[in-house]
Amino acid sequence: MPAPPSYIGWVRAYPQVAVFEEEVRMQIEQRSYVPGEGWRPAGAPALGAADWVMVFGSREQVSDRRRFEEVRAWYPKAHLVLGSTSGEILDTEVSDGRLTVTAVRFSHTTVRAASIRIGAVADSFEAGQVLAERLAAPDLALVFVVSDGHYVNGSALAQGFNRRLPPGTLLTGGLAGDGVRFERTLVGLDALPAEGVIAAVGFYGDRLRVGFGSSGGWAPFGPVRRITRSEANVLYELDGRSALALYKRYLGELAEGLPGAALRFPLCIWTPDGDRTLVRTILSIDEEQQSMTFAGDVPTGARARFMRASYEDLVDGAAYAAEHGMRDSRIEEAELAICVSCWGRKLVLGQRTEEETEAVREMLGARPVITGFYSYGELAPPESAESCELHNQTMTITLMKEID
Amino acid sequence: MAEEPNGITHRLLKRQIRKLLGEETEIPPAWHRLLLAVNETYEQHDADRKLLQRSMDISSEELVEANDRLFRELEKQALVLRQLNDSIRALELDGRDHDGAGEDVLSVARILNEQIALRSRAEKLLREREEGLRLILESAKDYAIYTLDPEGRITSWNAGAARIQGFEAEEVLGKHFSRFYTPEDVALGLPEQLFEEAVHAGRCETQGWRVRKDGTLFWADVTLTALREESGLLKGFVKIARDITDRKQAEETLKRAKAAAEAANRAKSMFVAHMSHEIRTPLNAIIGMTSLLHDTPLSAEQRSGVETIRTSGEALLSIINDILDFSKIEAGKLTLDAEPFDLRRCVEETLDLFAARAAKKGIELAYVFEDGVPARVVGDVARVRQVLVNLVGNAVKFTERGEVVVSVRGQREGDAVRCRFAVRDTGIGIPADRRGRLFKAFSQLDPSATRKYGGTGLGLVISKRLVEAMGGTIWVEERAEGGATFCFTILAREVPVVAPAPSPVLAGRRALVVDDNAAAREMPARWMRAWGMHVVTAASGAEALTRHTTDGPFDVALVDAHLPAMDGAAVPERLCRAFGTTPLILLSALSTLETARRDGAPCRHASLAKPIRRQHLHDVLAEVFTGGTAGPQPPLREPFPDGRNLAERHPLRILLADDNVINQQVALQLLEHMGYRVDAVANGFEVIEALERQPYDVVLMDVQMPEMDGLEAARRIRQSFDRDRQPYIVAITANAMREDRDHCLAAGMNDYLSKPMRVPDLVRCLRAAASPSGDGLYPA
Repeated sequence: MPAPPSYIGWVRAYPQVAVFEEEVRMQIEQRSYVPGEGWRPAGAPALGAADWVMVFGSREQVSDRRRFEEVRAWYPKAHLVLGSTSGEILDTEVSDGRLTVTAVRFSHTTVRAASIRIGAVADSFEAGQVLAERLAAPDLALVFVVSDGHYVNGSALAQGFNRRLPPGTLLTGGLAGDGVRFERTLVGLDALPAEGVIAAVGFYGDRLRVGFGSSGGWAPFGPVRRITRSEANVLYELDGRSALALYKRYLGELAEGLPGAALRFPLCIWTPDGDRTLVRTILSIDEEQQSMTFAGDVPTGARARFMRASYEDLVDGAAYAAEHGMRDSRIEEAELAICVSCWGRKLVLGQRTEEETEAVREMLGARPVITGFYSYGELAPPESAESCELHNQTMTITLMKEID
Repeated sequence: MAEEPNGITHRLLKRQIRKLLGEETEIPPAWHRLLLAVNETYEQHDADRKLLQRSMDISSEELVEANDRLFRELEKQALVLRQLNDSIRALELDGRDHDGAGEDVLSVARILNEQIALRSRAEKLLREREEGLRLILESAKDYAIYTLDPEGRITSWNAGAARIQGFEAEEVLGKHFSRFYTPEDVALGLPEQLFEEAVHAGRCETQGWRVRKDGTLFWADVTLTALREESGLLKGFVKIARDITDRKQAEETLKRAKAAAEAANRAKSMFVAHMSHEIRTPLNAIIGMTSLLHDTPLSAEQRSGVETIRTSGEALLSIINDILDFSKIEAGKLTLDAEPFDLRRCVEETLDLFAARAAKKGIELAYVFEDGVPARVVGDVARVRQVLVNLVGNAVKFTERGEVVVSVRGQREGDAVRCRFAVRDTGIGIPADRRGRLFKAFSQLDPSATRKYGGTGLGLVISKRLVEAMGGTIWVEERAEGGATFCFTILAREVPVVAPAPSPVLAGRRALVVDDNAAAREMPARWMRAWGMHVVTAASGAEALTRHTTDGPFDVALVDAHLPAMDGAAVPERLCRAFGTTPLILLSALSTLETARRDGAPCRHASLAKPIRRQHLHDVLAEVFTGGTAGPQPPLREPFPDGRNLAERHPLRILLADDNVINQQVALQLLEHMGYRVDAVANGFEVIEALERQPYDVVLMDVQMPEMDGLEAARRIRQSFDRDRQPYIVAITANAMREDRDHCLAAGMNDYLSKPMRVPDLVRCLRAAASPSGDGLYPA
C-alpha cells in the first residue's frame, strides 16, 4: 500500500517478524488491527508458540470478542494480556482506535501470569500483595503489570507489590486508559478484558536481562504551594484556597476542557520524607465539592508546585527515559521495549505525539521491537530507588533481552 | 477571491495558502486533509504558546503577590517581634537576662515558652499555696481570722471568726470592725487607737473585752497587722483574734492566789522575825546571867557548867540571829546602806576575825587585791562583810590544813565597778551533785556536817540574797585540786580617793620576802613594789640564802616564822646569822606571836601578825628604815596597839548593842581578842532590859537600831538608872558628821566610834572607860 509522507511517521509502522538468524533468543512478532481495514499484516502468525502476547487497543477494540478469539487462536500457549488505552504505540506509530498485538517467545525464560479483580479484595494495596505472592519465586526477574486505571489506586497497588515481591525484583507497567473519556478502563488476562482487573506477568530465569527508564520532561514553575486539605488522592485546597479555582484561573478559557485540560499543569509533589518528587496528574473534578481527583495520593501537608512543558521538553524527556533505561540497566541492543506513556503527554504533544516515540527509537537504535500504550498512570521505581511507584506524566520504558 | 478551503481557520495558514497557491487554485481532497492537519498544528501551537504565556503571567502575578504578602508578613513579624521582646523584658522579673531578648521569632517563642512554663509553674504553686492557706484559714476554728480594708471594713470572715464572735460572714462583711468593741472602748476611741498603731508600727497586739453577737463578752487576744503593697500603699489589715477568756480567768485566779500566798509568806516571815526577837530577849537574859554567875566564886564543876550554858546560849543566839536575818530578807525588809567604805579594810577586818581560829588550826590566811580594785566604794559595808564572814568562816571551818585565800578583782561596768570576791580554801570541797542545793534554804549538805560543824545552813542563803540585793551573783567553782572556791560579785560605785603617799624612806630599798605560801609571799611583795621598793621573793630558807648570795645584800627581810626548819635550826635564826645586820621582820600568826616574841631572836626588828595588813607593813617598814638602823638591836615592841590582853589590865563588863548581826560578831570577836567576855543585844529595849538585870561598865551602842535606837536608849539610861549603875556609853555610828556626834553626846553618851570599828580606836575607848577618872571625851 502507498506509504504516507515519512515525516508523519507511520512509514515504518509495519515491522516484520523479528527473527535473528545468528542466534535464536527472544522471538517477537507484531501486527495491528485497523477498523475498516483488518489485520496488518494479514495472514497466520509465525510465532504460534509464543509465551506471552500483549494486546493494546481502544476500549471498543480490545473488548471485541472476535478479535480476542482470533488472537487466542493464533497463540494458544501464550498468556494474553489485554488492556484498553488512550492510544496505542506500535514501533514509532501512535494510533487511536486500533488494536496492537505483540507476541513474544522466550528461549530461556519462563512466563507466569496472575490476575485479580478489584472488589474481590479489600483494596488496591491488598491486590498488589496477593498478586506478588502468587508470582513470587527466587528466579523472578520482572513483573509487568497492566491494571485497571479507574478503580485501582496505583500508588497503593505499587506499595502492595513492594511489600511482597522478593528484593531486587523489578516491577513495571501501567494503568489502562480510556481515550480522553475517563469512563471505563478494561484489562484482561487470558480472557476478555473487564473493569477492575489487574493483570500481572512474571518472568523467570537467569538469562533474562531487564531494564527501565522513566522520565517526564515537565518543569515546575510558579510558587511552591502547600496541600492544606486533601483526602487520599482527592485534593481540595492549596494554601487554604480552592485548588480547582486555581486551576481554572490558570487555564482561562481552556477551563472548559477540564478535567483533561488540567493535564497541562500536573502537580509536582514532594514526598513527605524529603527530597524526592512525584508527578500527579488529574483524573476528574467535582464542581460541587470543589475537588480534584488525582491519579495518585496527594497527602495533606505536602508541598506542591505546578508543572508545565513544551512539546520539546516532553520529547526530550522521552529520549532521556530511553537513554537511562539502557544506561542504568546496562542493556544495549534490547530485544523488546515496552513504552507506557501518559495520555497527558499525548494531549500536549497533539500531532507531534510520535516525535516522542521517534526520539525513543533514535535512542534505542534499530534493534528493539517497540510496543506500548498511552496510559492513566505508569508503574516503575523512581530514579535511584528500588521499589515501584506510580508515576504520572512520564514516558516509562521497560527493556527486555535474553542472553546466552 | 477564492473560497478558502473548508475548515482552515488559522489566519497565517489561510494567508499562506492564498499567497502560495493563489486564490483560484483548486485544492485536491488529499491535500485538503493535509492542510487541515497543518491548520490544527498551527492552532495547537498558538494555543500552547498562549497557555504557556498565560501561565507564566499568572504565576508571575502570584509570585509578586506572594512577595508582597511575604513583605507585609515580615513587617508585621518585625512589629510583633518588637512587641514580644518588650513583653519579654517586662516579664523577666526573675532576674535572668536574655541579652536583649530574642532576635527572631523562634528564639522569642523559645523565651516565651520558658517564661510561660515558669509562670504556669509559679501559678500552680501559688494556687496550691492559696488553697492550702484557705484550708488553714477555714480549719482554724480557734482563731477568728478576718481581713479589713484600709477604712476598717470587714472584707473576709473565716469559720473561726463565726464560731468565736457569733456572726455569720454575710452579717459582718462590709461592716466596720469597731462593732466588736464594748461601748466604753468605742467611747474611749480604742478601735481608732489600735488602727493608728497598726498603720504606723505595721502591727498591733492587744488584749481586751470584745462583744459577741449575743451581747456576751469575751477576752480577746488580738493581733492587727497592716497589709501593704510593694509600693507601700496600704491594702488593708489582717486581724487574728483568739478567745482567751478562760486563760484570762485562770490568770486572774492565779494572780489572786499568788498574792494571797505571798501575803501569807510575808506574814509568816513577820511572825518568825517577831518570834525570834521574842526568843532573843530571854536568851540574852540567860547569857547575861551566866556572865554574872561566872564572876562569882564557883567550883570548877560549876564553872564548867556555866561555860557550857553560855556557849550553848551563844550558839542558840547565833542561830536565832540567822533566822531573824533570813526572815527579814524573806519579809522584804532588807534595806541596804549606801555609805563609802574601805574595801581593803573590810577584807582585812574579816580575816582578823578568823585569824585566831586559823592560827589554831595551822591554816594560812591571806588575801590578794588585784589591780583595778577601787580603794573605796559606796555600799553597805556590813552586808559585804557579812557575806565575807560567812564564806571565810565556812572555809576555815571546813579546812583542816592548807590555806584560805580571799582574792578581790575589780572590773569597770559603766560608771560602777563590779567587784569579784573569791574565797578559796583547801578543805573538804563540795561534791558536784550538791552544789545546786548550796544556796537553798535549810539544805545543809549533809546532816552529819551539821552535827560536826554546827550552823543553821542559812548562811549561804542569806549571803545569796544579800549579794543579789547588791547587784551581784554568788556561785561556787569547782577546783580540780580539791577544796572549794566561793565567788560573789557586787556592783558598787567607786569613791575617788587620793591614796596617801608612801613614806619617802621606802623608795629604792631592797627587800627579801621569804614564805612558803605563794599568796602570803606575793601580797606584801606587790605592796612594797608599789611603794618603790625592789623586792625579791623566796619560797624556802635555802632559796632565801641563794637569793642573798645572788641578789643581796637586802635592806630588810620579811620572813615567815613557820618555815620548815633547815639543818635542825629554825629558818629565821639561820637567816639572821647569814644576813648579819639586815633587819628581819618576822611574820607570824597571831596565836604564835607571843611565843615568837618570847623566843627573842637577836636580830629581829619587828613582828607582824598574819594576815598582814598593808598599812601595818608600811608603818613597820618606815620605822625600820628611820629608827634603829644605826644603833644596837632595838627591843621588840608591839607592832600595833591590838589590845591584846587588855582585859587583864582593864577588866570591864561590856554590853554590845547592834541590830546588825555581823557587826555584832565583828565587835564581839575583836573584844574577845582583847580577853573580854561580852554580851550582845539588838536594840535599845534589850539594852535597858540587860542593864536592869545586871550592871555593865561599858555599853557599846549602835545609834541606829530598830524598836528603840541608841540615842533614845542612852537618854532613858541616863534618866532611869542610879548613878552607880550608869554605864560608860560609847556610840557606834556610821555617820561621821560632827553634828551626829553632838547628837550622841547630847543624848548622854560618853564617847563615840565610827563604823567600821578599828582596833586602836576601840582600845582607846576602853582604856578611857576603864580609867577611874574616865578620861573619855566626856565624863560619865
